[in-house]
Amino acid sequence: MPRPLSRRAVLRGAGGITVGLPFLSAMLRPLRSHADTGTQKRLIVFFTPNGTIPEAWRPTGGERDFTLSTILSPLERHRSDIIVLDGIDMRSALEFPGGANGHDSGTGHSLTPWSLIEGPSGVGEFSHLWDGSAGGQSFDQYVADQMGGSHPFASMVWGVGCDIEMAIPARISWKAPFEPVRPMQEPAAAFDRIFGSGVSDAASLETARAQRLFVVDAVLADYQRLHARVGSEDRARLDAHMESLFELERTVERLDLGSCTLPDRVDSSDLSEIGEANLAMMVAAAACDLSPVLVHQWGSGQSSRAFTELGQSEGHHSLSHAPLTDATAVAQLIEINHWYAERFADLLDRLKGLEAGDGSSVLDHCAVLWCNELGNGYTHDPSSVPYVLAGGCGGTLDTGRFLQLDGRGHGELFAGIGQALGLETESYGMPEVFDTALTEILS
Amino acid sequence: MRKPSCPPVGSVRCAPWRLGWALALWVGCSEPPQGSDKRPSTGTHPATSDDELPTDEEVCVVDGPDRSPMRRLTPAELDRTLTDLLGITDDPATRMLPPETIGGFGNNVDVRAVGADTVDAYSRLALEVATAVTADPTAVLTCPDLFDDLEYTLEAEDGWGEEVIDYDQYIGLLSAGYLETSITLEHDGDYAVDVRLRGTVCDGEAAQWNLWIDGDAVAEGDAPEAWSWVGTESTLSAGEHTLRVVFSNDCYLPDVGEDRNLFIDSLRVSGETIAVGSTDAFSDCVRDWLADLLERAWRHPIDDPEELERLVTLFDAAADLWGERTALRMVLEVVLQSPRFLYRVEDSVLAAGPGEVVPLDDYELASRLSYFLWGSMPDAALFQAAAEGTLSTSEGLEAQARRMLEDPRSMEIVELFFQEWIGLDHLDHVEKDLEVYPDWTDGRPESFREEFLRFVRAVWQEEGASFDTLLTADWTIADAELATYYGYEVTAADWTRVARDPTEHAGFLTQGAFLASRARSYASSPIHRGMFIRGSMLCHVISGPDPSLDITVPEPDPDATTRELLEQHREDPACAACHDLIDPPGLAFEHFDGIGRWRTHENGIPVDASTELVGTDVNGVIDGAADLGQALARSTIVRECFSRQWYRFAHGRREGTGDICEIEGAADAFAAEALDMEALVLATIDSPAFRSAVGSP
Repeated sequence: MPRPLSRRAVLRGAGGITVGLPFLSAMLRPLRSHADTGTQKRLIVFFTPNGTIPEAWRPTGGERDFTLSTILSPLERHRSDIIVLDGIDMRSALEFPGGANGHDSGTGHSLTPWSLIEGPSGVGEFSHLWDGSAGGQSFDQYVADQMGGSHPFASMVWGVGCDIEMAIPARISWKAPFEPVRPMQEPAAAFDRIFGSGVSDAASLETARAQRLFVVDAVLADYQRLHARVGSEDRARLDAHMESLFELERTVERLDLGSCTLPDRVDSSDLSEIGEANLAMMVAAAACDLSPVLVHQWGSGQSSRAFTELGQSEGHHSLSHAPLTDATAVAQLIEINHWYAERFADLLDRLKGLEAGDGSSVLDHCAVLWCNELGNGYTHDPSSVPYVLAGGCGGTLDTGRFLQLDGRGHGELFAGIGQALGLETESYGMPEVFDTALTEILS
Repeated sequence: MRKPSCPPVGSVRCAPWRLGWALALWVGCSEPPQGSDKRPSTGTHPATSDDELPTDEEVCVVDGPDRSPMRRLTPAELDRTLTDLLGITDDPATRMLPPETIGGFGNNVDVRAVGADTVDAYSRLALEVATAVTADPTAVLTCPDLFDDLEYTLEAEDGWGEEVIDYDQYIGLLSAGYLETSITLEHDGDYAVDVRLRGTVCDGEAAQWNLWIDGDAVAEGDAPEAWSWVGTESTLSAGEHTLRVVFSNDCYLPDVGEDRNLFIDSLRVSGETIAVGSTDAFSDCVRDWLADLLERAWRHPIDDPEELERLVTLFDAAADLWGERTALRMVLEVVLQSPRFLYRVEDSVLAAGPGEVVPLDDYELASRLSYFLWGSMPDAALFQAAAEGTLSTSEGLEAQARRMLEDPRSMEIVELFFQEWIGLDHLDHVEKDLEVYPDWTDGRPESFREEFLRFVRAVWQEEGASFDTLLTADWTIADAELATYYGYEVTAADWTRVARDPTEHAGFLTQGAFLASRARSYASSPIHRGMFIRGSMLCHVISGPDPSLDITVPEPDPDATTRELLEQHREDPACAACHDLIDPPGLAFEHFDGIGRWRTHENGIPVDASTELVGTDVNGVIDGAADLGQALARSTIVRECFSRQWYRFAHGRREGTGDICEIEGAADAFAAEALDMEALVLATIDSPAFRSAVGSP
């Protein structure tokens, strides 16, 4: 019994008929050999906020026979791989505080030893510079410029709980004044950006890559045409945009995950889980040599994070304002910094567990710097900021030491680390606060 | 970032001109600057102003804005634009782009440099949106004969079984049997083969369906009792295929009245939509589509036909490589990342010589209006007005502005202004010491936020947008929970107006959102409250303390009031230079504790909220927040400052010397219209700065 049966039209299946084209693949091959992945020298920055309790942080004893204190005790198993640096001041912040509050100043100076610059809004409530800027290029971005040339990413910056989005109170990486680098704070989005989002087979990957490059090229051409017509102020704006497009193009071109072991894709809003996911991505990025500069920012001073995982209810920032006579607050602050030391030790474990290919570990080729925005949290003081430097940096760092330095500037430390990385950093930072590079760290 | 020097008090340039502007300088310039033209310039003197004064009144000739930078859409603006342009409603920009919150107005053009993460997000956003929009290419390219959507209508040609019943709407297989049809496919491909059917249950067992293709059983399952689509996916070659739906587990239990049958409604074979049109036909159709899309995406007629041809060429090239469907997606990706989409490019500015003031064309005005009042692209009526050339007249512009202000969309933008002006986001970072304030809860900030925004809406929509009411209202809006928290009489469970004591309260200034965010975790803070009044309401710029000063916050003292602790630091003349200006307005709020609640005593000592305002145009002794609210509402400086805030918000930048006359003009109109804030918005629009632009060097 013949009869019409069908009624409505419903489309099924999205996506075009894709034709895998090999034509671009030669051009898309990474420009580096993976053979020497692990021996690439690398700068890793591990930033924590709100200062420390100096008495519980500072080791005792001599340069090589030191005893680690409560806060740094988790680093005992790494003692031969670290240099504990006491007595380094952020002299640029100390001597040129710029009217900003301690956190703004400490954060803005933490990797950038130049005095801050006020933004269009000047100094606002809470002495915030809000739309102000660090005074120069941060050290990590300087290293990225010098060493990032052949990598998919010149630098990679992660963060967790940096939820005050204003630049000055919450950014440690600066490409240039008024160009802060926002840390990747959403691990799922960061994973997609770095490790791709689910395309697995090589042919589809090549096609997607070729198409993306095609689009980026066309977009760049649009910006170039407009760039030629605008005035100087807008030209600077388009310059920043185009520079970022070039960066994207290079990432798309060079990113070849090859045989990399990918970390888990974590979609979480829990701060500890985000931190853990970020560090896992950072270690994977080191293993795959995606970038010579890896930065992780554990929050910003004034974010209201409370360490509930340590059974605490009061925010870290609020605790740091408690007077040193408040024994409960001090105990909690020590716990927090001890927790950070555990994370740092864990990061070193993982870098040590990665083979560099010549019998050494990836850690042996890294300079891993733990830095802070303040020294003593209570006084919000940028003097005697706690630093720990770890890793061999290709044999250039003389580790296993406790260095007591009286009032050396943090720019001098960066100059020393730059030299360890093989850069010609005779100096770093504003000359008013720079005497001589901290070569004491070198072997 | 140029930093104008701050002239010393008494210099010729500080001669009074207009009170507000003169004071902005007078307040800070208690001593000459030191090296203010080179870094580090900040902090070397206690207070500065960013404004340079014109030398005399003659300077106030209004002819255009100070500068006209190109503005990039904020994430929220981009989302609204994608909704209006392409019907995208899942806010991909706020979801994917890095947040760009900054202190003050988030659209500030000077602090929104694009980084690699932003560009990467734009690229992924464009891919996501373009993929969604072109998922059905036939809806994008509506020219005939370009696509074959491979959707097949089927007729059953044959059925077999003892009881095959035609029920008009569907067919029933009442005992074992099948329904069969054949189909001729024109293209190889992956297809979905689906049957719409239902079954009845007998002996606890559902009717089973089997789908056969070309004699092979490819899928089977239990038929649901309600009509449902079931089926499978199959790779089929071009040519004829036979489809058969089989029913085999017949059952009939007349004793219990159970009968297992299968009912079949329809069959559907659907494959991908594929491109079948010729290359030329595609190019022509894509050109038509782009011509329309670009005008709206770029919010301007396409002056240069090359712009269009370039995109068509891109489409052709991509189509050669990856096929038309993919090429369509890719060309849309390019449009969505183009500078003329992401930025508000004003060609009139590009054509102007350095410093030359030029009028904007109608379409540029339409965009200025729509992004200011709606945070999105112009709608059809506004485009129409632009096409008719009516926006370049004052009346035409005002008519459209009034129409847009009546649209609820403008309220979102008004709320955004107030949120950013009072820094509502501070609430996200408020921490309170629960030992001092046991009634504080995690949900309190959200409740305060709701109160503030509802209050702003009510003032704007129900109180004639009265600025006076904003600062002096003796009512607020609260739900029962919040009213109980404050200790007001509860009149309704839901959000409603509640009365407050007019001798104690002053509009938004005595709401928790402001009071609790400008407070310490354990106490009130006259300094923070005073800084808001000084900075955001009087537009006086006061720098942070000189580094040589000891700024250690005094420890709480259970035997003293906040006021008494504060007075200590004002004994030091170095501190007093600024704090004599900051603290007095803050002290007026001392009847409100650190979590925004009224108090008569602090630490057992009666609260003293009397204070003397200085450095304003409403100087004098006042007592409490209500007095302060009324004084501020009378102040010309406050009006000019508020007008300045709207100017910044409208232009996405801080004002410069050349903008000052415009702002004062708007402030005058504001005062003349009984402090109607909507009149201020209209005056901000009806000004040369809004209607023209100045060429860049």
